[in-house]
Amino acid sequence: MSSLRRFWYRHSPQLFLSELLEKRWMEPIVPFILMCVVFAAFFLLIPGYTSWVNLRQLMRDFAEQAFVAMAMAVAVLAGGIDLSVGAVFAMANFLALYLLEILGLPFPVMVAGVLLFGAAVGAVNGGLIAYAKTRPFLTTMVVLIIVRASYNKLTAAFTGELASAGEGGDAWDFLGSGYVLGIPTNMACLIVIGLAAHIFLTRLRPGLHIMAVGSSRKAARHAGIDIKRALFSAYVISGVLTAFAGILYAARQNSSGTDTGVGWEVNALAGVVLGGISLAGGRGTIARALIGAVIIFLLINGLVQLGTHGSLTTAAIGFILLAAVGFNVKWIKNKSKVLQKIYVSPTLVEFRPPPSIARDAGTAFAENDRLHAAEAIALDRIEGPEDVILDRHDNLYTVNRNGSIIRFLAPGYEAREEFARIGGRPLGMAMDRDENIIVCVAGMGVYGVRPDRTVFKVTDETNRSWLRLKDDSRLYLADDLDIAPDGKIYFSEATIRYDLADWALDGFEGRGNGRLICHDPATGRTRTILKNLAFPNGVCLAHDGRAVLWASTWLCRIYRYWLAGEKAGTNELLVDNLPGYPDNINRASDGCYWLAMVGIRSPVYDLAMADPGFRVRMVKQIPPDEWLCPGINFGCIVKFDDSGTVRESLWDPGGRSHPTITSMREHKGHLYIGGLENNRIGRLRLPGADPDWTSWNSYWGRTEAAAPRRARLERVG
Amino acid sequence: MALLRDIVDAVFFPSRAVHGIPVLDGAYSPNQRLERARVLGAPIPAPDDLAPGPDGALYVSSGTSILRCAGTDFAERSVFAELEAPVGALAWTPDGRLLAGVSGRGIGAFTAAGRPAGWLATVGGGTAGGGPIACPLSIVAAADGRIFATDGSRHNAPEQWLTDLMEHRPASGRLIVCDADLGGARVIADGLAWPYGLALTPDGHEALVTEAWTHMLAAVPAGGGRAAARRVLVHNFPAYPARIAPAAGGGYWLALFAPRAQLTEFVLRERRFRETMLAEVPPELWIGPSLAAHFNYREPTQIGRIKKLGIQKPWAPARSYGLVARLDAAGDAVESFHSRVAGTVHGITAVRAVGARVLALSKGNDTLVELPTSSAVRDQ
Repeated sequence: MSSLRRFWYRHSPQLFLSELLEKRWMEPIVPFILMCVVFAAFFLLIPGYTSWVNLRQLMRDFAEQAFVAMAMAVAVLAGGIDLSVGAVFAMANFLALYLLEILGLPFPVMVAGVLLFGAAVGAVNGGLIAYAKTRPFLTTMVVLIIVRASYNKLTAAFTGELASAGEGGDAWDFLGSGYVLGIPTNMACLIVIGLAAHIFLTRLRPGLHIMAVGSSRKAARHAGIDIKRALFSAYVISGVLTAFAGILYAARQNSSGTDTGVGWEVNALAGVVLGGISLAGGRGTIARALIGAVIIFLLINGLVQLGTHGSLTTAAIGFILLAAVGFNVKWIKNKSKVLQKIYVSPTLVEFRPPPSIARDAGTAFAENDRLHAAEAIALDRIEGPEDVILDRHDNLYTVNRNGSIIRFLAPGYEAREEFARIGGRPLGMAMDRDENIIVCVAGMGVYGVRPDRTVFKVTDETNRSWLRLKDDSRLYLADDLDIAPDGKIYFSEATIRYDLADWALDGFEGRGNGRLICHDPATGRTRTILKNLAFPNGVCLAHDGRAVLWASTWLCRIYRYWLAGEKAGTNELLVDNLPGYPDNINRASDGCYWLAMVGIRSPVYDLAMADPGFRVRMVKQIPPDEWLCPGINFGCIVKFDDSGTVRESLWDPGGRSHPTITSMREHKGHLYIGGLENNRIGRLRLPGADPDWTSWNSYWGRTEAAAPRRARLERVG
Repeated sequence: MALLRDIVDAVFFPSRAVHGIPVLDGAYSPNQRLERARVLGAPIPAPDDLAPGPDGALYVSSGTSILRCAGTDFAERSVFAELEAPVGALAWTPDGRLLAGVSGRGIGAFTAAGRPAGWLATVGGGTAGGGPIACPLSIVAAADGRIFATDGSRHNAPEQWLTDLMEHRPASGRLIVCDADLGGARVIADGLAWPYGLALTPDGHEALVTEAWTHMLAAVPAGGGRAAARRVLVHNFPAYPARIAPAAGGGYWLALFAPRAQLTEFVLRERRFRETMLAEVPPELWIGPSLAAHFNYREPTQIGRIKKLGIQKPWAPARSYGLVARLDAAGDAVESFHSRVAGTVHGITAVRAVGARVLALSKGNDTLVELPTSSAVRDQ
């Protein structure tokens, strides 16, 4: 039973669902399902509905309507509407027949002429709307009436000629009744042009301008977009697409009746709305317009095939559209709320009782007053020094919550200067061989600062995992790093589901949302080494450079990932069941490691971790300030060795000067202490520590050339 | 689901009392007046109740003893009586006896010299709601000699108040009345949720009872009568009310001993979690109210309590709080005295007007304080 429970929480279907809902392409899910339902219904009701012959016929009948819907969609996406499409379509149909069969013009000239006509009508629409600032609805309706009236006059005048017109030639026939790879020619045209239109609207500058103008005219103007030109081009494109549909229709039907194109603008508009394209403009895709058009087409076609009475068909379609559009509007509006409701998906974390921290417990974790002796550097002159580091000249660098790197000059650490400004929220730091500061920046990635203060990007993405819906290629919350002797940068990303401000939500999940990543400056490649880690943190190269130590904050564990030797590439548990939440790990002068514990575990939080339902309900029912969270108001510093044995601990009872401890760095016999939410850096003399030992020398100092050679030898071995 | 519940509630129980925690606003607007109150004398370990004696001294219950505090600032302390169980409620009778509620024992009477003078240990088995008085919380002697007392719970002793709250059992407290000689005890109201405080209206017709776990103030006819006659004056205090005492010029002083918190009320709804917590976690580390902010590394933390740049924000969700309110005759707050988060006058269990002064006991921080009630100090 409990193993079933564990399995359920580990492979949470809720997690999958929430990542699915996050996808942009889930927005048209309602029309898409409706389309499938309609198709399936007719498949069941009409014998031979899915036969190849019938499918080909359906495709052939559908293509022109789809073009008209696309034309309407372009106008709607630009924030307008184009009611003239039905009339332009009919007129283009007539013109194609007239130019080709009555005037006998060559096929390409005819096509060019008809498209020019479409563009001209579009230009009239667009010109009036964009430059004369008329209302799209009225303008295009007037154009509809004029073009329609002309069409009626012209068809009446040329009825005889059209009826007796001759052959249109091979190209004409191919367009009307030919096949490309077994697909009707007009459908093939739709596929090609539809794809092109999609790319145009989502990838190319003029298309993006149209979308931007549709989303917000004001914002587009402020962004320097020529609104008038974008609007004008949208109507021209709409006219050309409609005219092209007219040519296809003419080639297929070879006739020009009085009812050609009547009511098509209504069907096209219905399709566009049904597909979920916002009438306010700017939101939607070509694919959505096509989905909407398919539904309408299938409904009309299928009901006719069933022999339903015409008026009944129209009424049925009306009702289905009403229901679908109503539901769709609600869905699009509330999708984010649904997502919000199910996004946090806690998993089961079962803790054992931790070792005692009582003063008289006799364990290495027993409380003491050793941090009370720490003096304060930069008191109230620094905001949230998550990590601290010192260079070869003893200058102290730290991160500030406003996104900058602050330097305090040795020896007094009184002089404060902004060393560099990166942005984001800088967290863990490391120093490479060239004395560049490499820093993890939450929300941005990994950045570097050269000694001359120039900022450079190290990396901000890694390889995407293909079996996951969520695109995890971007770095969301890189939090700590270290550099191997061969220059490779190993860093942890705490979570890919939340940003730094929501760290507590990731804690409630307790799920493996983080990863350990390696960046190789030599090749510029970044790749994920370990996935699904619960808030990895505190990355530190072992003293011999053969392994990376990292801490899982929510699981209260320290792991060792082997880089070299016979265990290379394996990850092993080094310390389990810590009494607090581990954060940064750094080297100590005696061959051990310092570990910052950002908070101490409380028994009730451990209980809550074993009860995922409790945490879900808590997040839903009470406001964020009231949520139970890991106790990060009091922390401590711990020292452990390569065998995973905890040697000693340093405490600040009451958290008077160091409420949160997220990092510490040993330098020349002193320990410098930083905290994510602190207003100071602590400096504690370490009696008995090597007074000459510095972190930089420990990494890069010993006989300049020997270290990399040794590392290379180990890699070979 | 929550939405559905809200709709069902709104449709089917339109007049159900709202139990959302009221914000500290209006007369309850936060201030530092209690925090700045003058401390009288040396600390008293965990004082629970106070009663001004006929001799002008102040009698304070503290642990298993009753202290006599004399002098202008009540700084001269001596032990008046020592008992074998914790003492809580205190009251002087008009005929000069001191009544004391003793945990697990009932109500004892003492002569002015401190010698025992009778016990009321149980309500007769024959009467309705009978049984031992193991959790005496509050005592009042009426002018006509009758003695009113409350018994908090049939399951827990007074010092187990947090257990009683977190166990979340059906309310089992009682309001008891007996004659001046501690005989003829009978129950006049049953099913009260930890009736911590008790006062009589000026005309003596009604007894006002504070119910801590349901955050209410109710009036019960002092002559007994049907349960339906219970009249609720205040439905929803922002904190757990403790003792109540008449104020000069009408109205009442009310001590509120711990703040209500959304997290606590959430845990009260989570039966399984709560039961595990009660069984496995030491009480000082439970999610729940507390009388004082004693430092413990392993206590539960809430997001809003995380220190920012070394400072605990005063609006952080509180586990303990100091709050005294002056109510008018209808139970509406007129003014209030606060000691906010990270303050040092938390867990007020008793407040009483003594002469022209108003004294309060901070059980959480072991102090006796005098409230700055004069209008001159009020505006600071």
